[in-house]
Amino acid sequence: MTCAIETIKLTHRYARLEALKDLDLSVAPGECVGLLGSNGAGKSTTMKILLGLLRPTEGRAAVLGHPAGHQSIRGRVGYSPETPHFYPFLTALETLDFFRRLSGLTASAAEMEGTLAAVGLAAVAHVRVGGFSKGMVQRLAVAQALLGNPDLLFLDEPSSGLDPAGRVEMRSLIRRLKARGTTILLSTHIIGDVEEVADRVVMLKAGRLVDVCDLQTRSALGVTARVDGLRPETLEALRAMGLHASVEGETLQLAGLEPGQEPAVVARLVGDGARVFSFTPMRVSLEQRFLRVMGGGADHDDIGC
Amino acid sequence: MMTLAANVIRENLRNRVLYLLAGIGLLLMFAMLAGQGGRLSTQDGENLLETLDGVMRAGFALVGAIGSLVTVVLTMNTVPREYERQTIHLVLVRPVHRWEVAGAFLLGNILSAWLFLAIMATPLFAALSVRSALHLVPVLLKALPALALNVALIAALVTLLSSRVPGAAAAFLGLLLYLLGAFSGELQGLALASKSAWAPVGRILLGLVPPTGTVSGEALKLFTEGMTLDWRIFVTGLIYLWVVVGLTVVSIDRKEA
Repeated sequence: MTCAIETIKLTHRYARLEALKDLDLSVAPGECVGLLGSNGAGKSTTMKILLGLLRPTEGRAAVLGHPAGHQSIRGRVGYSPETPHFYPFLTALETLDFFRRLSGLTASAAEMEGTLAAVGLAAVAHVRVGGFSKGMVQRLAVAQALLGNPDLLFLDEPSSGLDPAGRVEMRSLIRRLKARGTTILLSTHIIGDVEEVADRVVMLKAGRLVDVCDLQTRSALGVTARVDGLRPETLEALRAMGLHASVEGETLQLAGLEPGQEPAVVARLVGDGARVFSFTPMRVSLEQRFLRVMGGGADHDDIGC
Repeated sequence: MMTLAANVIRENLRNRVLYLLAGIGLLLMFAMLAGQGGRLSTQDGENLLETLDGVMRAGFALVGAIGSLVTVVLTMNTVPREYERQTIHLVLVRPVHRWEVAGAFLLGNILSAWLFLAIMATPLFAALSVRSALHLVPVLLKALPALALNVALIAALVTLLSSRVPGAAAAFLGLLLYLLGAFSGELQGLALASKSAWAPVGRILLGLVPPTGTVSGEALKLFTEGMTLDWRIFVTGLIYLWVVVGLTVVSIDRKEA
């Protein structure tokens, strides 16, 4: 299967600043991958290289089976930049028409109005962009990226400047696009957004990939259970299963569970004669994981697509 | 390419500084050329505006100078503005070749400059009308393309420069080249007559200067009966324009967004 995005040892340097270093990343068709990282982590640089706006200093990048930025794939890719700016003298509809013409698309005015409606700008279709708020400009940026129903969408901070209702709408739109099979690379600072819509999260720190978190298969990373009659050999058996187990009174704390391992743990406890009153999976939030990783830790997961 | 070029023109026409410059230029030219009592003295104390030939020479020089100044202001920020505010990103990610983008910038700038040139040239027609010399209108119409070539040269040069240096620096260099170009004929004459060891270097450097002075000088011959034009001068101007257009395409193609 051809990856929608594939980078090998991708590196980019701005003069003396190393913005990106040895990035290996694969994104499968139809997948929604979130790019997380602090300011200057290399998220936008990654997107710009994949879009052909920047040339990598080293390494390779392929998009939809072609070298990044190749002419033949540009009509299949949509891009919403982090700080969009449009010609202030054009209306929202004229702006879409301008980009439609540049893309060589044949969308009708009704179709473009439909695209504006999808991002909540139907009411201001004939208003000049110069009078738009930051959130409206952001919505327009997403609208122009959606022209021609691209196979691959690069969304750089699409919720930036949006109010809470706008963010909900944006998440809903991304989910609809995902359901349609659009591959999405989403860069954002808003962890809650990426947690809700992404299949996988890639964390960048100072231009390096430091963690990959699969949100689809991520399970309880810890469990708190109230157990009576727990024997020391059961505890040892749980540790032999690769779990971190600790007991305080009737409370058993387990950490390091693999996805789907919970029933086996409960079966072991009950089989060894313990009485289980409660068994509560405790998810480590993406935010906690992000903070842990950005704080200095570095986990490297396998990132094949 | 036409979509982008049309947008460049639309944006250029919204520049209020241009209208101010063009307005001042028009007033100045109307006052000097269209009025009967104008005076523009030569070194010999002769009033250049007394003869029709003199009016045309002064008018051409003024239209060329003000048209070039307007062109520099018009074109200096087209490319830097697109890159600074990153509107170019949304263009470059689309199935558009970079040479088309470069071509659109050039075309948009040159067409905008021509529009302003046409406006600036109206006092010349007014001068012919006031001096009852309407029979010279066809001659003027034949001569104006020479100014259009000069303005296109300046527009292309500033567009090229602004793809590499900030807009203000591009404008400064553009004006400098225009001034050198206005005296290109004299400078070339000096370089050819010079016996200095540096003369060959001077000749090479003068090759970089746009031949605007020689082009407009040649066009003025149209107003003097019996003079034949040296078409090689116009061809040189076109070749210069072609080279600058080519360099602009290469420059924008290699420019990182």
